Amino acid sequence: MTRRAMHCFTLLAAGLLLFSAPALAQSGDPLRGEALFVGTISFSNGGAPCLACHAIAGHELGYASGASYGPDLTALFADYGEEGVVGVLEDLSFESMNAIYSERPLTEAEQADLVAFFSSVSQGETAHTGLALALHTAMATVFFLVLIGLLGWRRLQGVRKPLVERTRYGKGEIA
Amino acid sequence: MSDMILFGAFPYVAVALLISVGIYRYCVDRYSWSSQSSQFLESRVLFWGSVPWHYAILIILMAHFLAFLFPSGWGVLLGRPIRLYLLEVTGLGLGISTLIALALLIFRRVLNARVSVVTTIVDWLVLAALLLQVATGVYIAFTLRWGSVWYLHTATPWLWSLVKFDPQVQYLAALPAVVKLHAFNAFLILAIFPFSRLVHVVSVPLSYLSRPYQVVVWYRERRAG
Amino acid sequence: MNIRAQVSSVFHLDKCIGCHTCSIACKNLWTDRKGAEYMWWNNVETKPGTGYPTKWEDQERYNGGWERSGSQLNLKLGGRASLIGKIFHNPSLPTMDDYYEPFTYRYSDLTSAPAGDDQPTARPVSMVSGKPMKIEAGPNWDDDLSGSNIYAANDPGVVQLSVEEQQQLFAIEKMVFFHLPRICNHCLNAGCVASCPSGAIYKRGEDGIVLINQDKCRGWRMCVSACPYKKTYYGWSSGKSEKCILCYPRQEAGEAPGCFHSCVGRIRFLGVLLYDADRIESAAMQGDKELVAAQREMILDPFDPQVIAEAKRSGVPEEVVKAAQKSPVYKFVKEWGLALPLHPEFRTLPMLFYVPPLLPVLSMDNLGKQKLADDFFTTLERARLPMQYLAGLFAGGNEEEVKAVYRKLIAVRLQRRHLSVGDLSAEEAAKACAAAELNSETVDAIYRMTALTRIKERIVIPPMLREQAIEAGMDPEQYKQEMGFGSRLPPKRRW
Repeated sequence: MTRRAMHCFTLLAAGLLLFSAPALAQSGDPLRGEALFVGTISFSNGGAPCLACHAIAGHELGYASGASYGPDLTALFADYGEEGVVGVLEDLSFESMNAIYSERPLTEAEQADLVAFFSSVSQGETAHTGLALALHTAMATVFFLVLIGLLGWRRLQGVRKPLVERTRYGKGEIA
Repeated sequence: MSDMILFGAFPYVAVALLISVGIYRYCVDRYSWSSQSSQFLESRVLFWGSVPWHYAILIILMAHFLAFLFPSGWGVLLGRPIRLYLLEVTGLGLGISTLIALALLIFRRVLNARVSVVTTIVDWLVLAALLLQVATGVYIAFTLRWGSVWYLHTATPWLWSLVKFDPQVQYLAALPAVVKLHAFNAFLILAIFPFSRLVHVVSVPLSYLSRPYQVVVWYRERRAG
Repeated sequence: MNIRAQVSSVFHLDKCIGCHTCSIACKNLWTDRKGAEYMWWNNVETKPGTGYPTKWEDQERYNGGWERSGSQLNLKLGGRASLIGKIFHNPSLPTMDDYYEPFTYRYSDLTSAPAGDDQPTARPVSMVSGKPMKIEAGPNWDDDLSGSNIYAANDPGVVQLSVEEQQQLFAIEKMVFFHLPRICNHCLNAGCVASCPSGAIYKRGEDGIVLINQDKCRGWRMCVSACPYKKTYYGWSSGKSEKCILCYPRQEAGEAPGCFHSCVGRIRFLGVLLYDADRIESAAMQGDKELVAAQREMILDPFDPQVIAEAKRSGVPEEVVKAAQKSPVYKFVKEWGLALPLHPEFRTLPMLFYVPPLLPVLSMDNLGKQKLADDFFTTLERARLPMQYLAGLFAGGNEEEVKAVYRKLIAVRLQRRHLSVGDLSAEEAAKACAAAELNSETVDAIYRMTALTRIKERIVIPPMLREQAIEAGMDPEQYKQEMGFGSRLPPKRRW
């Protein structure tokens, strides 16, 4: 939680500083922004797609939208405005992102697309990814173990002990 | 500084041990090179431990290697939300399976008197390290989503920097402690590898698929006519 | 033709008294150490009985040996890929419980127990875990226990008989059994060799002894399952599989293998057979009942000039051909047709042959009084041990093969009766010989080989010529330490 609070604070500060930046939301393509966010289109400098760590609501991303490493970016645009977002995207100098993006900055066009994308969403419920993931994982585990169980269906289950027991305690002829 | 030691220097120590001790053992004491199976002593629980463990861990390891070797291809694979989610569910399901299987294997070694006898200290060390590795892995996958993607931008460049003898530990430095533990423990396992029964991993008998069934060895070449 | 030499053996079951001396000799030589206590490379079973490991003959359970599918011969255990898929848990591996848990007694308690009201006792303890245990099985647990409703009644061969035959077999005062000593058969189409994923098991080209390269074995345990005779064993401490080595270090020094040398009843014969290796597959593909004949067909006459020439061309040394000419095994198996392989239907082409036992077969009717030839042959149909049972053991179910052997054994018996006791007429003996299709000289030779020979005639070890094989064109120094055992590290776990 402390990291989240820290991120919010940083974003807020950046937003305030760059209050009068030029409008990018108009020039960017929100669809392309979404593709960049998800990773369908990679960033030209090789940076990580935002969905790797950040959740976002209001898009057709299903449970995949619920990343949990970084903070939820659904309300990013609403909270910090265009200038704030642009300021953040320019250098992405957060502790855990620095290593990735310092040498792989976003291009201006990519920033514009992302801003347009962020502006297209500002509210909505994030999918209950944690719960769904737990449920689906449990199903996958059971499925896998059942599959393994089928492999073990006709295995040698011991010969001598069952033979002796069945003969001695008269549980019928051994097949 | 400690990051540099743990993630910049230790991996080289681990790999150096792996290779040098591995070669030494293979050349000097090849007799000891074995899977050390205990199925003969206990078979039923082993099935529910060994089979899910091996298949699941092989798939998970393959995913780690593929993401390391072909990051761009891996990135394209995960570029669709549905594929990303399915891969995460699969990975996590397999991870939980390894955890269950490993727990079974450990209990079996503790509780079964016969199997317990053939368990050495190194075996316990291996089991503990593997348990730690699998548990941290599952924890990371569940709480720090989506690891399959950010791995490409943290672990992959770090590993490649190690390959290029130019360790870039900053990729790991900012990650949560549990991820660091996972990364460090991975190389710790590599370091234990040549001293333990884990060496059986490099003896995957794939040549069996192509060799003739019957093997006849002559003390020297047969004398022709 | 691709001629190879095979050191093979004949066990004469009529002479086996079930004393287990062979087993003990072998144990003291090779398996008296941690992880190998439970292994009996040589063991002696009581038949009818379930044997060691329990019900080893039942391949529906153990999946050993080969099976025909179409024009192919496949391991019953599975194809190559499926075998590798099963590597994490072998579906057909017997566990220690199917053999027995080795045990000893806490003898020290007898002298070190503090003074008390009760006699000190030596409790049985497991040699695996060291903990006190209840002894419930052993390598010959059903020794001489014919009629046991657990062991004899569950003999896989007995189970196949009719209820009537089973009752007759186990009727009180008619109870019958014989001993079956077993070692590795050093098969021509070995299942263990074929199943080893590491390729660690091999057949020695020069003498056909099947060995496991201990440095190459990785403990995948497929050989244990694939051997239908369960004659490879997993060393639970060393993590390596081990098997009978036919005492090759002794043979290379000109000595008989331990179990052969120690045999009290002198039932064991050893010698070289020449065979055509190109025919291995086609022989193993024959129908169950033709397998014995097909295997006999593969064995070549070492006196045939053409065979001698071919043998030379195939690299079989002259000395080995000479040893093959003196081989008692050749006489028993091929010349006289007296010895049969054990369970040929497993299709591994085993090279250990058995002369089936005559005594337990003879009907109760003629107990105490000698019968004439005619009676002998009619009683063969009403034998105490059903022919079907013996045919199941030694001929893949082909009763004619077994009967042919018995006719010969009876002919020998009657001719000796005529000559040594004299209460049988020469005509009767001749009639028996005619029925067995033997002439009286051959009968005499069989009698001589069976009863009168000394060890050098019973056990004809070919010159192994290891030193020659090395010296020709190689530096002998290089091979100095490789004779006999190559590995000089103790067989125990170190890492």
